[in-house]
Amino acid sequence: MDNEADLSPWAHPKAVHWFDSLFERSGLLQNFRELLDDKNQGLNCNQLRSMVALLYLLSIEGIWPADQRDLLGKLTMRIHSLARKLQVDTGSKPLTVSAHQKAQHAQVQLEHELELLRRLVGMSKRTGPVKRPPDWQRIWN
Amino acid sequence: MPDHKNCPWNQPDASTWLSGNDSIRRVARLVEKTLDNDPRQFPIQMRAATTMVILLCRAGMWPAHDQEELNEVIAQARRNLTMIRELYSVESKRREEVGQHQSLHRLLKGLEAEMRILDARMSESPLNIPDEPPESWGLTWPKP
Repeated sequence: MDNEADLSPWAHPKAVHWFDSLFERSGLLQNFRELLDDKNQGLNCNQLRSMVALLYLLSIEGIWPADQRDLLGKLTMRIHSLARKLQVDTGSKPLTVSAHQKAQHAQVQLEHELELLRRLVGMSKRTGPVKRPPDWQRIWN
Repeated sequence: MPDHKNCPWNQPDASTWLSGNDSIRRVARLVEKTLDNDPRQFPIQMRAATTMVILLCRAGMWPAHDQEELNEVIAQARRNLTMIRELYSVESKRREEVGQHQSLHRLLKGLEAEMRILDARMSESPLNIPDEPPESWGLTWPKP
C-alpha cells in the first residue's frame, strides 16, 4: 500500500491503469458517444435514464479516464438535448392514460437524474441541495 | 434482494437495450476475467474490479440471464475481497509492531464496508446497513 492518505480503490497507480485499460478495451465511452450522436438510434426515455445512471456511477474521478474528462460534459450535453426533444415527441403519440402517466413519470425522473450529471460537470445553474432521485433508492445495497 | 423495480435500468426497454450493448458486455467480461485471477497476486487490480461489481452488477444493468448468474459474479468478488482483507490484515499486524498500522487499519474497515455491500446485493431481504458508499471511497453522494 503506497498511498497512505487516499484509501479508495482507484487511488493506486495500478488501479488507475486497470480502469484506463478497461475503458479503452471495452470501447464504452466511444460507444456511448456514437449512440448519442446517431440520429437513427432513437434512444427512449428509460434508455437515456439508464445511460445517465451509468455515467454518474462511472464519473468518479480516478475511475473515469482523466484524459476523457471533457467527454463526460459532452455526453451530458447531448443527453440533455435529446431529453428535450423527447418531451416534444412523446406528446405527439396517442397513449392510454396509464401509459401517459408512466411516460410522464419517466420524463420527470430523467430530468431529476440528469440534473445530477449536469451539476457534476458544471452545466447546471441551479443552487441548493440536490436529492438522490427517488427511483435510485437503496442504490448501494 | 433489494427492491429495485423502479430503477431505470430495470425497465424492460432499458434492460433489453443494456443487455444487448456490446461495450457493456465487454466491460462485464473484462471485470469477470480479472476476478478469475489470484487476489493475493493482484490485490490492487482485484479491488478495482470488485469496485466495478459494486457499481454496476445489478439486475438489468449487468449482462446476466438471471439473479443466480449475477450472484455468482458478486460472490466471486466477495471471496476475492475476503482474501485481500486477509492479506492486508497480516500486513497490518506486522506493521503494528512498528506503529505504522493506522492507514492499513482504515483500509481494512473500508474493505469490510465493500464486503457488506456485496452481501446486501445477494441477500434475499435488504440488510440493515447504511445505504451509502464506503467511507474510504471519499464520495459525496446525494441524500434521498
